[in-house]
Amino acid sequence: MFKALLKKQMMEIFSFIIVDRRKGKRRSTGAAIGFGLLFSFLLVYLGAMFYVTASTLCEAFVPNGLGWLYFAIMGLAAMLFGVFGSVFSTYSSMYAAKDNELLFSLPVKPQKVLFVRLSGVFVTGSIYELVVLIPTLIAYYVNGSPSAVSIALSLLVPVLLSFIVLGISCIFGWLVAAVGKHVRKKTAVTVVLSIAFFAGYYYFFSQSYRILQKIIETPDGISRVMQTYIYPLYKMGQGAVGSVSAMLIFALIACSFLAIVLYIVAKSYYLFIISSQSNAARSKANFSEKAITAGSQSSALFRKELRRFLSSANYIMNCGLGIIFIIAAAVALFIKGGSVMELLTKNIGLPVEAAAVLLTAACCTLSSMNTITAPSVSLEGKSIWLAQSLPADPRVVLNAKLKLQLVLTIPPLALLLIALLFTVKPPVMLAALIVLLVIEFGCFMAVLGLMLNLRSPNLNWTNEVVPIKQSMPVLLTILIPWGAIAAFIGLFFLTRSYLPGAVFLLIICIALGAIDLLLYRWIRTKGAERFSELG
Amino acid sequence: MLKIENLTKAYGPKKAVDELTLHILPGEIYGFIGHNGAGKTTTIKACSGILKPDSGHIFVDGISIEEQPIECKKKIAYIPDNPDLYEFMTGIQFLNFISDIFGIDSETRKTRIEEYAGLFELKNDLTQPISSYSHGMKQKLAIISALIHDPKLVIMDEPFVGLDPKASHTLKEIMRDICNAGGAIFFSTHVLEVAEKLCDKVAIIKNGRLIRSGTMDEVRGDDSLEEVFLELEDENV
Repeated sequence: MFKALLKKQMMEIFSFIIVDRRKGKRRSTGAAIGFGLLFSFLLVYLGAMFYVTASTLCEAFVPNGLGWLYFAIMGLAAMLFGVFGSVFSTYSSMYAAKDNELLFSLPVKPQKVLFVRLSGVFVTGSIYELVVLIPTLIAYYVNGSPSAVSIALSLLVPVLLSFIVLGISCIFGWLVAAVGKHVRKKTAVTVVLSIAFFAGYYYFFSQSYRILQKIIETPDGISRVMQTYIYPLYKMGQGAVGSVSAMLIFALIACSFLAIVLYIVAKSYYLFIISSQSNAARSKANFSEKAITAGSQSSALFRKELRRFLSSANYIMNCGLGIIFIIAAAVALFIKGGSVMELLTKNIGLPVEAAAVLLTAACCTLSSMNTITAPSVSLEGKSIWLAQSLPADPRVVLNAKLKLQLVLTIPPLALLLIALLFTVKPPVMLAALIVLLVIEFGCFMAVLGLMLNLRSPNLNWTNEVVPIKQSMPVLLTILIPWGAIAAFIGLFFLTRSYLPGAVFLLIICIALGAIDLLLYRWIRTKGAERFSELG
Repeated sequence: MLKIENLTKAYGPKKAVDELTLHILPGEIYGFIGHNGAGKTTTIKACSGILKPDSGHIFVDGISIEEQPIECKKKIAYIPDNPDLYEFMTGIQFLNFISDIFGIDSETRKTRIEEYAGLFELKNDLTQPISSYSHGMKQKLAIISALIHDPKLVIMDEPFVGLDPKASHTLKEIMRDICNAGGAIFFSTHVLEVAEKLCDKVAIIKNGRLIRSGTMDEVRGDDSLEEVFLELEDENV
């Protein structure tokens, strides 16, 4: 039975390759292979980006006898990426899966159910971690001339580091459950904890930069500094380049850490599940007259989308995080705008126009972190019959989904644009084009996500994490804009010798506006037709 | 009220519904029975505008659901066999949402919510999130939301599953009231005793094809509906 449960969990994660979730049917072998290859390509694409960094660091550190530092830095990056990839879905995977009742009614110990749930978290975290570590190992084997012992020991790094990733994610999920047990607004708790995690994450990042600076300034004290700040990774680095004893210490730390975390989580697991189930039985009360207020159809649909968004910490943290980043960037730009311009124009030597284009690209990158529409159709799940059977035009239903993303993204973007214009002080024409482009890009994110989700929806999920985090529409809604932004920057630098910045931006604005309109038209015609036939 | 003409719907090579024709008149409670996988849900979904037929036509109160789906849906109430509702809403938020979609004014919705929530004893639970509801409570909420716009045609898929005896009784009374007011009910069920007592007419479907339909007396003759149903099932094996 345990094997069957594990198989179920893995199928939940990877079934999108084999099963066409839009049709609810198995793909043909060719289509499944094609889909698998596409997914692999995306991972390889991300890995290739990490390989460039790994290769540079490897060439700089390994020949100077600092191979352990190379592994420590890349290990830290892999760990953070792995935690980042799995942490926001840990709580819902562990404690709030839709099939909890079913699994707990089966003759299986709660600890085994926990283990099955954690296998999903482990696999998700490991995929993210390996996207960094595989290029790290390849770069080391290619550039570092490692010994046989070093190769053997370095192969243990992904395994042991994944234990730490799983442990950290578990602590987070457990914390949310522990706090949520006593608090009614679980979503708010999760969001606050997630933001606190983010703040800690970025604080750590800023500190790691400081540590690196310290290392460069005081090369003699590297070991001491590393031992003070990240002792386990220091030992991991030493182990990866051939020290058996260091690898043993790291293995001991990683295994003990995971064992302690699992012991604490397992001890309270069933209790937390039971309390989350019984939270339903709360005091009954008659509804107030104020609860009944009439509104228009479109505003009802918009409020429905907003309620769904605000009710799910997963949805907020995975698809709406850009809102916080955009506001933070606007505040940062208001405060440090002068320094940013100095860096771009004086230190790097860019003309103001180029600096403005780069900052515009940065705005778009932040905007691309909002992918609210990308899982919005899938999130209808089994309740899609409601939207389909009610007398609401599918175009109005889809418009509500678009509106949610625009309402949550455009006002923060407007604030960021004010900060940008305040910082760069571009000529009026350039300023108008920057504003137009950033707003168009915000719209592009909304229509792209919705179009991709309409083309490939998944209504048969048991855990909302699947459509929010582990779906092709969401992944593509992140990657396609990244590619577009990279192309935008590349094209600007390629053409800037003969094409004035304002003309370049005008061309991009026209092209992006046309793409937005085409995608919007598709949503209102074929997309609406598809939506009404889903399920 | 509901006219189904030569409805056909296939899933791959299998025809779920094959050339089905049924007419449901105002004032009729029409039962739809058949074995599992006979094509009942497919027919009901097509009548509710959720599923597009491969061929054939469906008219609600004379309006084609293919040509004017929104107009048809304004007259219909659909209750599925497994009511998956918006779990992120409370009961009252959900009813308010449905009322907004149907454009019901504040006073009317207030009166109807009070009335139906009282009848189904759900009034004190409406402030709770739907995620905390039992299957029966969700079924009651789905029924209230379906009745809130005073539909002319109520289409239900196994409506009595999960309801307690009192709620079942209430629903049967409401069904009769709707028909007395000139509306119509079309519902599927496996409980043949309920169909026998409640329905004016009944249709039996097997492997997507209509094998018998008519008034209750025409269909069962001197036997019970159960005997007729089992006989027809065996005959067509």
